[in-house]
Amino acid sequence: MTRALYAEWTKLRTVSSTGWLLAATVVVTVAVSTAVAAGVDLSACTSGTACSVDTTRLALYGARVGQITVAVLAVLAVTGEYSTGLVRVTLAATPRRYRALGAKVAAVAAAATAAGVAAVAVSVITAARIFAARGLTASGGYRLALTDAATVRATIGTVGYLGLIALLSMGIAAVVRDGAAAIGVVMTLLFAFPMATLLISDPTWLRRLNQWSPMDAGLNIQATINLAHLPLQPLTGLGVLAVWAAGAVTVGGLAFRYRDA
Amino acid sequence: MITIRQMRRLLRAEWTKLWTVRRWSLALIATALLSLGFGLASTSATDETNQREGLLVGPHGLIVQDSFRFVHQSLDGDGTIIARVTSQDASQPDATAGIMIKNNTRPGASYASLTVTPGHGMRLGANFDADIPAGSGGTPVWLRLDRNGTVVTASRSEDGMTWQRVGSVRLVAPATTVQVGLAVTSPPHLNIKKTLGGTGYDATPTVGHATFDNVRVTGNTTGSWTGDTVGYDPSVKSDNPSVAGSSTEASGVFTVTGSGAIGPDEAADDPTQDALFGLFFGVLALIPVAVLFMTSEYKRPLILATFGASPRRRRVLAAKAAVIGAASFATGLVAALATYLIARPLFEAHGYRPPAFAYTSLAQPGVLRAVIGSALLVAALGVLSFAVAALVRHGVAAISIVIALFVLPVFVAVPLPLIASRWLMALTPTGSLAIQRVKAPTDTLAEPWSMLPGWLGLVVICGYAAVALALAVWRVERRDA
Repeated sequence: MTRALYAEWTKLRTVSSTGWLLAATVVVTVAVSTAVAAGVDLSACTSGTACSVDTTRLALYGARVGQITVAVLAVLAVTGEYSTGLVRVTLAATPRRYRALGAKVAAVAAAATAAGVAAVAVSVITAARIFAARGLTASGGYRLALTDAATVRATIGTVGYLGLIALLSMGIAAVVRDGAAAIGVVMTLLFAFPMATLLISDPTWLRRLNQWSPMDAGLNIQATINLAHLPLQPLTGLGVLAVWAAGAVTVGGLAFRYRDA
Repeated sequence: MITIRQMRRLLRAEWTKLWTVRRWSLALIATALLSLGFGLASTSATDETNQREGLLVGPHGLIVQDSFRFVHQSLDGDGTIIARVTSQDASQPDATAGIMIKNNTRPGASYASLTVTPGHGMRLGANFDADIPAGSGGTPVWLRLDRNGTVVTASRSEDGMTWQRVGSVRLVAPATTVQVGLAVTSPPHLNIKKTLGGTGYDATPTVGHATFDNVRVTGNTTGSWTGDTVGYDPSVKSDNPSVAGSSTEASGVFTVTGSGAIGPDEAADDPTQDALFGLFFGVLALIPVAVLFMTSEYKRPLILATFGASPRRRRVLAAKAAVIGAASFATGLVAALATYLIARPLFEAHGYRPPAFAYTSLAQPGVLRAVIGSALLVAALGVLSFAVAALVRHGVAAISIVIALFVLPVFVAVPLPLIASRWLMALTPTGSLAIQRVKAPTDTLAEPWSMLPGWLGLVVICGYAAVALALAVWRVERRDA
């Protein structure tokens, strides 16, 4: 397993797109989070210090954009082997197919998580400074501080969210095998649900769509206030995304195991 | 020189490549079906405005707002009113002060008016839906309305001697006796609040203040000047709040204050826009086709045969762009037409009908523009996807770039303040969704593209497509295939 892992890590590391995509993940996540923290209208905050707006969630808003580069990285890691025929070499070197795919999943998830840690940490620290400069202080019940348990859960959970998006994308890519088609499917799966919420006004259906959607359900992990009104509790929500990811990886693994490469 | 026959051959070759790949034709069908399906999902909404009590219905059967201060006399038969507006406070850019002929003083009754505004010049208004520019504003200015049966002709003058005709409008079914006089109003100030997940607003009344002199009515008048605050009922809580007005007269100088607005009171919701929005989902299936149409050539590498058969690469790209553009346009047009025609009766059955919502039909320019504009936006998106693919030559990258440009701004705009989200819409292809709106742009809807004028977004997405295509041509001609 170590050798398979080392091989996957080398393949991932030596493709120039990997570095670019990981860097892009950090840059766009931080950029969007910073823009949102600096720009959001805080007039709904009840006093100068307390805020009914979920500032933690805003500080992590960039993950919605950063997940795209993570998904691209994950899809390319799988489909790139098919477009070049490298997959035959991989399977000659590691004939145990579950082991080959498992090593790849582990390597890509590790890379995505590492980028996620950097992206989320910088986002939260930058946003905290911005909110503090805008007059929101911890004494007023303002939550965005790494000493606050809910904020820590939201922050670590967002890293986990990005890792799960990588798993989901790899599973889909292993089934579809064509890069363009795979990214199309991943994007549709991620964005169709929140797009549908723009169209639908029925509150029951809005809740349901949130609960079923890999993206919206998973992002409940970012909530730190008004938890009673969430469509899903934070960890349950991330669990829904985990089920999606596990399902995709399982189906992808079976396809990889039983299909000719 | 390229001959027509050569180009036709090229186009046919590219067309054959597109439609003979079964997955691609299936994806185009999926584009239309997804658009239709999601478009029809929006018809599950219901609107209960029509069930509200005390709806104010105007002469054309739609709900209107009608509150102002009216200083009036009865006019029996034909006649003329002349007045000079000597001053007007700039309470709101669209506050109005001027003269009016109205069937009666009941709110919602047919009227014709010639007014000045602080910010939008002189306006000739009628029946809550006509609002015709009538030259520059500013006071003092002389105004005149001549009634001749149902026709009211408006004129303006700088000195009360030489009159310039600005237009004419018609009263709807006036009795012989109508009310003529001075009208002053000032619409409420809207404070739009944008928060996560929505846009709300609160409205505070403003008061307009104007003075008049040289007020003359010729014709068969009865009674003396009477001041009434039309459409003011403090017991009703309104989305369009107003306060009571006042009017005084001293030696021929009239001082009038009024509050409220005269005009349509339709909701910002636009069912045609909601139905056509289904295309936003449909294009998720179209973007990969447009991208693969280019990148699969490199994969095969069919591109060597293609460029071998017609070495002028610029022409090949033009032919491919034309084919994918035409196929996208046709797909978008079929989807938009079908969605509109099926969704319209469903929306009407769910409360989207007069008086709260006007009936729509394809014969109306705004509706036709929304349907054809939707097809054009799909065509522009197809060409943009294709051009990005030719530029980066990598399918996954191209699809991600196009989705990031077209889909992501919607979600990024949600937490941004109004001005930033308007700019985001104006600078990204997402703004093209504004073309799907039949009603005027509004700041009060959650959908940020509704703030843009319809044509602007379409111009922007066509600009993106044109620039990407030009870069692609430049790149492909300089690079090995």
